[in-house]
Amino acid sequence: MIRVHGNTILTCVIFLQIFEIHFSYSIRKTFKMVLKLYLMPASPPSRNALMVINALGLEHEIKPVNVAKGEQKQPEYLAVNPRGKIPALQDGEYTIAESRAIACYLCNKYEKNSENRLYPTCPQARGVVDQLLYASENMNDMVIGYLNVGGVIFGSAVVDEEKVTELHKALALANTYLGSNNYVAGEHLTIADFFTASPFIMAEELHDFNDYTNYPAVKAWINRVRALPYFDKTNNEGLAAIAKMYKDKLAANKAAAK
Amino acid sequence: MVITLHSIPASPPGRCVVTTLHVLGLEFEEKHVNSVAKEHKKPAFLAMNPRGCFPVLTDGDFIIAESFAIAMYLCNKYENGENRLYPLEPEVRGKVDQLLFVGSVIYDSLLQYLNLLGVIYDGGVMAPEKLPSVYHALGLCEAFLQGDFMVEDHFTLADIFMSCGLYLLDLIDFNDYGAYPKTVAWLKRVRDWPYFKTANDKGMEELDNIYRPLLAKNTQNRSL
Repeated sequence: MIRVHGNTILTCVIFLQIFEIHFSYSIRKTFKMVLKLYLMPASPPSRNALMVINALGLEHEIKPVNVAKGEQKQPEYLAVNPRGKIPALQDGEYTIAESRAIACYLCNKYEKNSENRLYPTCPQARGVVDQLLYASENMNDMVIGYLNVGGVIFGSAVVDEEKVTELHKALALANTYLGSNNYVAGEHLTIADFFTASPFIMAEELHDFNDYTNYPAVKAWINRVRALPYFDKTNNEGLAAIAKMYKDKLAANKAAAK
Repeated sequence: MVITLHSIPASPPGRCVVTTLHVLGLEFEEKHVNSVAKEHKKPAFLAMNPRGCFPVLTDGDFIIAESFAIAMYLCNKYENGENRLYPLEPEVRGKVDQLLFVGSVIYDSLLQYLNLLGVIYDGGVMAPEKLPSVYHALGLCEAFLQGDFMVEDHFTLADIFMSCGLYLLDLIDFNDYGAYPKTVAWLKRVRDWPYFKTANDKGMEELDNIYRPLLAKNTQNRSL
């Protein structure tokens, strides 16, 4: 009977895992299979996809899309995303679009097994995250509707402050989803936090929103997301750019309306 | 562990979940939401789904809302074997996920063009200014369809949810599909799929019986 010492088995397993990770990394480098993220830094969906890449520590190339020149409508880009929207991801030969789908794909493909996965694998925990990925689109519409980002930046709109009730509805929803947890899908950070917090951070940066009197838990959670080590490098430049665009244009629109 | 679906037969997203349940061979109870009495905006329902919409699914103690998320959950939990509605390989699953989000956009476009909720609950009429978004939706389907199905060579959640909004065009006998031959063939393929027929035919008829007369009445009222 062959006896193999437990520690020897463990050592072999660890060695093989390291070898496998190094080997696949080498293969990727050899065949230049670098992740390419097509994005518009000012845009929240682009930055949310980048949050996931940075959270997973994935090597990547940023490919800015020149929206002013209509690059997203050109055949080269439509080949990557027939919808002509940004962001999109290229992983070797594979292409995928829709920021939330990109987030899920990156986690499914690259997230290492751990207790606190950004995209849990247990059906129930994953279900909670998936529900929030969809619900957060609706919440995003409420907040962006109030800010009227498109109307201000590309048109002559000003903010209808009566619509701040929409922002408060979104805050109330976030508050309910948070419950007594530190993160929106439970006790640890998930991709749901990136997408759900994003519109409120936009309201803070673009319109200096700060009235969390009734929602201290939401404020604490938003700050928790902002404090993530990769938050600033992912968002600061893009947020600053869109905030400046928005504020300058809003002022101009207001002056023109007088 | 009982699965209960809170919805109404006429609800398109609800029927997408029913189709999924049928394909997975799962037994479930249907609890009809009294939408006319705004049951879904009352505290008991909001405790299940703070957004106050249906469908909502309960599986034992677990509660989940958002039709797409419900379908994904059911597949993650119960699906086995090959030719899955929600394939496991990250690249294939990614394509399905992408099209679920596109399907959500398409559904919203159709909802707005037909003003489904407005017509049924608020005496509203259609929104003709939204017609371009309908052609845009058809164009998207045409662009995404590489073969007979949206992803791979069999039915997936992408086929169920991408077609959901476009069926609503039957409510107004829309007929301008000339430029979208692949989409027409695909819509027929999904509609003829036995699981789909069983889950949808009656509900679609019910919705038709609700929407059509109300649209006619509301439109007439507007022109008086």
